[in-house]
Amino acid sequence: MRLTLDIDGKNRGWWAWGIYYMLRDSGEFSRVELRRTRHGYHIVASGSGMSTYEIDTLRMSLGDDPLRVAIDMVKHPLQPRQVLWKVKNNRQVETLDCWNG
Amino acid sequence: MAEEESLAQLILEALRRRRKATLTEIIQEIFREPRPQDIERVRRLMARMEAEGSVARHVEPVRGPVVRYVWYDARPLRRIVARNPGRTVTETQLSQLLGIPKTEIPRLISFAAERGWLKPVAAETYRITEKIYRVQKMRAWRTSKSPWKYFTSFGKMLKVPRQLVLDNYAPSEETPILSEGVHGAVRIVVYTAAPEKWPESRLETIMRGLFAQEGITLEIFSNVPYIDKTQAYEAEEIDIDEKPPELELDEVDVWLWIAKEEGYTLAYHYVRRPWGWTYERYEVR
Repeated sequence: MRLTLDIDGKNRGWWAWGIYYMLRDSGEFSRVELRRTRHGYHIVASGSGMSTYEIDTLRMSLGDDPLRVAIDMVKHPLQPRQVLWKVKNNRQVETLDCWNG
Repeated sequence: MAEEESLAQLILEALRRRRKATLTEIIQEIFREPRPQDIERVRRLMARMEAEGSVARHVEPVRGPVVRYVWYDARPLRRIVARNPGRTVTETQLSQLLGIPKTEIPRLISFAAERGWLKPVAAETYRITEKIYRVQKMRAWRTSKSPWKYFTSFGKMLKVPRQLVLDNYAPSEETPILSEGVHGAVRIVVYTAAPEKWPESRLETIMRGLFAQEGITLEIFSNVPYIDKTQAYEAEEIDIDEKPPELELDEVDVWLWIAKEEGYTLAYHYVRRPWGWTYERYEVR
């Protein structure tokens, strides 16, 4: 399962870049991507093979939007979890950096 | 399982470090003075984790009819599947990569095949599923968050359009306050191997078809100043284990939410049957 983080706040770039480098150098993921949105940053890390419980624990400890984590925990099993919109109200997110291990 | 998650994590961490362990070794590592109920608790948890595909059990003969169970960490299988889409693997390769005896590999493979991660191509040879993408579009109609848009003040009534009353969204045209929240939302999700076949326009066509079939008139909210219409689209590569096994590739999954004035929301899950669309209805509190 991928690890996705929604970090809100335009002035939290220092946090988003820090988390991006940490995930990239951790050796747990095969691909890490950092994107800038209208209100903050998105981080997507894939290829870990971690379970839902491990991913949720990481999301909570790495500063994901707490409301987003709470909503994902009560979703119907068929509903998609960890949604990060790429186009919202015709505004597209901008990819800042992408690392393929 | 949630209340046992911390114990499960301790067991899996012990297995990851030791590569293989017996029940006694695991219990001795976690409990200083284990009680019989602790041992029973760990045994039940191991059985559940085996059913979930997190651990593998190997029966090892000790002497005569006496055997013992040796437990292995099977979680690296998920990582192999997530990192090598489209690759072909054999049972021997999997056994070497996971460090699990070859006799236990078929059980793990059947677990992965049930979820659609592996497909048999020849005897003892399997292909890992190709890269898959999740394409989805969502649209929501909601009351704006800015209070000045509600035009409400104490002791005065708010005038709402007659169509809202006809659609049972408001009791009368003169309403004291319009409650904040989502009035309606639609989500269309497709898991596919070819996202270029599912552009936003195609999902939009499906959404409009659903509105036409069900006679939904949420579009009337588009013109009133206190309702915001938000829409979003996503086409994203996902890991294989994120796709629900119940959904096939290129199968359209539709969700519809309708908020009611009484304070609850009805969620409709549309399922494509051979004879058309049917839905299951849930009440969301």
